[in-house]
Amino acid sequence: MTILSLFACIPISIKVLKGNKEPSNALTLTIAIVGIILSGVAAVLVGPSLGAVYGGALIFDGMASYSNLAVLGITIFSLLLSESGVNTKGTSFAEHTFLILLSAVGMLTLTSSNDLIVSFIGLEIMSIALYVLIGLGHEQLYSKEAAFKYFILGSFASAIFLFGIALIFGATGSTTISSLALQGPLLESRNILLLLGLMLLLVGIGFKVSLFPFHTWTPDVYQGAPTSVSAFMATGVKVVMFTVFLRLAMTHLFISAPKIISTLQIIAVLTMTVGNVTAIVQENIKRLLAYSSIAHAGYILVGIIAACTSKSPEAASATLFYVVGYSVMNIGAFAIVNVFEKEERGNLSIMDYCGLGYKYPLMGIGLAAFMFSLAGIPPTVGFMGKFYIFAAAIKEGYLGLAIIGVVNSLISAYYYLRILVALYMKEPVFEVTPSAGKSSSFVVAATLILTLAMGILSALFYAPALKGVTQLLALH
Amino acid sequence: MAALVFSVVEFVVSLFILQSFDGASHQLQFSESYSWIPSYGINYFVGIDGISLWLVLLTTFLTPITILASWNSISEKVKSFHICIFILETAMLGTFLAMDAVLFYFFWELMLIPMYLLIGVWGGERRIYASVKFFIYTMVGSVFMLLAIIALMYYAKSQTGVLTSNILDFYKLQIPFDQGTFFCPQTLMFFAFALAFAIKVPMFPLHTWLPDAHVQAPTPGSIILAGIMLKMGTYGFLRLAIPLFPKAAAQYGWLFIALALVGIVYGALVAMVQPDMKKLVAYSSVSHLGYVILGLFTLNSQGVTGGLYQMLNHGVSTGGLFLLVGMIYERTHSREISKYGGLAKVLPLFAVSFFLITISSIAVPGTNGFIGEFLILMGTFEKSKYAAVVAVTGVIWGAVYMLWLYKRVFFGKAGELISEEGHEHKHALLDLSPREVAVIIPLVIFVFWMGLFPNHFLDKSKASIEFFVTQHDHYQLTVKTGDPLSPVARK
Repeated sequence: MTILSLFACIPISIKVLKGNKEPSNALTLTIAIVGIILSGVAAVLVGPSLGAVYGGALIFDGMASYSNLAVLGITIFSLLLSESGVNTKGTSFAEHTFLILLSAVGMLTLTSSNDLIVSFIGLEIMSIALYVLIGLGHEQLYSKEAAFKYFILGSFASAIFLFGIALIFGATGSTTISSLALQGPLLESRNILLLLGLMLLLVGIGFKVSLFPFHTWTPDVYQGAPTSVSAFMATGVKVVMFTVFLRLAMTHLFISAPKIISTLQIIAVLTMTVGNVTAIVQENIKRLLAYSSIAHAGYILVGIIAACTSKSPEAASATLFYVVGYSVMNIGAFAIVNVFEKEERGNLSIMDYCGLGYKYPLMGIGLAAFMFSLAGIPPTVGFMGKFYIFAAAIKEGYLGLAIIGVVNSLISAYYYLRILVALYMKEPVFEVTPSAGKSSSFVVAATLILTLAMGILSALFYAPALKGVTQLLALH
Repeated sequence: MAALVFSVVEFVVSLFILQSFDGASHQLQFSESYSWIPSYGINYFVGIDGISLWLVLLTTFLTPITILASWNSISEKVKSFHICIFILETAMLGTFLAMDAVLFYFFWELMLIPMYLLIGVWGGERRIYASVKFFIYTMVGSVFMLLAIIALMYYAKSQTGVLTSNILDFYKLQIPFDQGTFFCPQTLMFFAFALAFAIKVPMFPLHTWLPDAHVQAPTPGSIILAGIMLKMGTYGFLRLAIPLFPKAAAQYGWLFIALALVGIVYGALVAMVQPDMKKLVAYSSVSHLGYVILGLFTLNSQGVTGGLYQMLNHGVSTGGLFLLVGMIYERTHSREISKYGGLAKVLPLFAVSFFLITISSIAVPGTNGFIGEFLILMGTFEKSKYAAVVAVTGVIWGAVYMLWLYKRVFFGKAGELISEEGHEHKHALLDLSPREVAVIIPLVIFVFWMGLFPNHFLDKSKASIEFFVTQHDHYQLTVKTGDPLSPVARK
């Protein structure tokens, strides 16, 4: 992790030094990307040989490197989007890059942490950078409002998370995640401290990944934040927080608290349903994507619930694969929003997308593929992800959850199709031109290829997740 | 042009398969298997047997016809149109060939995307409503099938120790069945599959998406939809739902026979009163597909043979009807029957073609429709005399609505669109062009070839159908080894 953070920090410090002089965007971007790629190489090559460091507070297992690579990819894509986005390009790009990379360091800490205190540190690094990032958009009113909203609510959530850690420490005398696995008997004896601590911890996580009923901030913040930051939050934060959640689930601690599992089931059902049903009536595409991301958090939670009780690795690896696949298609969708967005919230309603599919074929095919993928239609990653998740749920006996899940993907197909209808089946209503440059188009192309590749050759991307999870399970 | 050439090449390739297909064997031929998702035991596993053989040929045969038919009617976004047609063809062939359940589902769902775009982009005025309805309706059925497939995979794991989605392995499973209750695994899974297939067929009362989709779809879309896609459903019953869940299929077979009978009569009666030609043909599909389902659920040799044959007939005759309706629509931009009349005098060639396809549709002896319906009725009679009586009335209704349509459109006083006064399309009312004749002639040839020499077609399928009829309750389909065209033998 030291190496990893250092690699991520080197470009940041250069940028801070140069920030005062406002270097060219291209230079900033190049340095940042080199830094990210170097940390990616480090994550793959050096990470596994390190194993656990800092007395076991950080572990570099297969699961960590899988999520880390996803986070680094997300960071590159978000930077490219920021570089060309209407509301982010220009004067403060150096600061912007610094904050995104800082937030990414927080994310890397979170994915690899085996200690709740370290998790909290990572969470705070990630979140504080995000609070500022949301407010950095050029749109004065909305972006500041979103930043303030997220800051207030996010601080509460962090505090609750920390309080949960304190209670768990009080009950068990330890904050390492792997040692929680041994606390089953304590939980069975109805230890109130431990139970309350775990619940508070879950509330904190639930807020960050926008599970019902902690989801209400999501549409406002995603809508108000600059699009590249929304993309970064909607994907990066989910990847890491679900990885942390997964690590908790894989201790199998919750088997001793069936009430928690049944509560999680209710939350999963409500999250999926509320997200999808509310998304139907959205007119603004960013809000629509926000509600869709809430719904997807619900699907992912189904995988987590299966992982809570599963002794075999499929449930956890399905969840990991789904989170990463979800990130790919969601970044792609946000990238297209980024391309057509205008200053002061222009070109964001679904009507603006009418007839664009023919004028801009790459954007059209891209958005169509992302929408089909989000709806879970083959040959995209969304289908394979849902297949793995529902297979895991059925295997663990959560047939009801799987049925509600597929019914929800039916509901969701309706609003994803609305965007397709606008793209290909209606005449253009407004004159819409792309506002962002080549780097956004690159992101669209790259995520499009990934969406299809992860759908058709999913085994290639699924195998590392499976391997990582199997290793971790063997430890417990 | 290139699209046409390639689709013809595909057809020729499929003829080679037909040539080297061994009709004496019921086994799976030309099989290929590659590992796809090893951790779940999912393979890219395809193969042909006597059941899928003709459906594959029907697909490759109708695709060039569709492309040729769209020559003039599709004038916008031609390239995208052909991309859609080819993706659709891939998905349809994949569905017929897949012998791995997940692969089957993969192609099954993939089919939705190009068809959705075909209706939604190139369709009529209410195309958006129709395409979304088509998409959601079909997806409702298939998602439950996905859950059932996953459940089957875990049954395979618990019974054989290996996680697999190989359909041949699924056939060997013993899925718990309890005659007394609906809520036993086999019955539930049977209905999960049956729902998907019944919507696709479509069986009464799940047919309501079909008229909308057909009326709004462009002519090529209608031809593919009626000619090939509807057969996915009936093929699904034959390949998956019945042999995988034989006990549930036997217990609830009466339900499907009853619904098929209702569909036959209801479809025909509703077709009769339609003012719109395309809608009429669409409802006639409901009726015809009712026969197919009836034939399959008799589970005897005549019935199943007739059902399979009727699938092909319906592809040829209804595909042809949609084609002809599309041709006249191109000329007059109206499908309203009451505006026509006396067309036979103006367009003699067109009238003759329409007549030939019509007699195929109403199953006049000597045409293909007769063989199919006759076999189905024979099979039904063996199963239940009362059902046969009801089914026979469908034959009468079929003749009524088709001949009445023919009379109203082609004979009598010249209608609003045809007469001298008050129409502006007179100059466009030319008889069939050589291209259009070239499109129709292969269909007409098949109408009579299949009607006069059914054995040319049935011989290749006989072994497979016999095997299905006698063994469907323990359907141990195997792979034929040593195929000349098969590069990889199954491990």
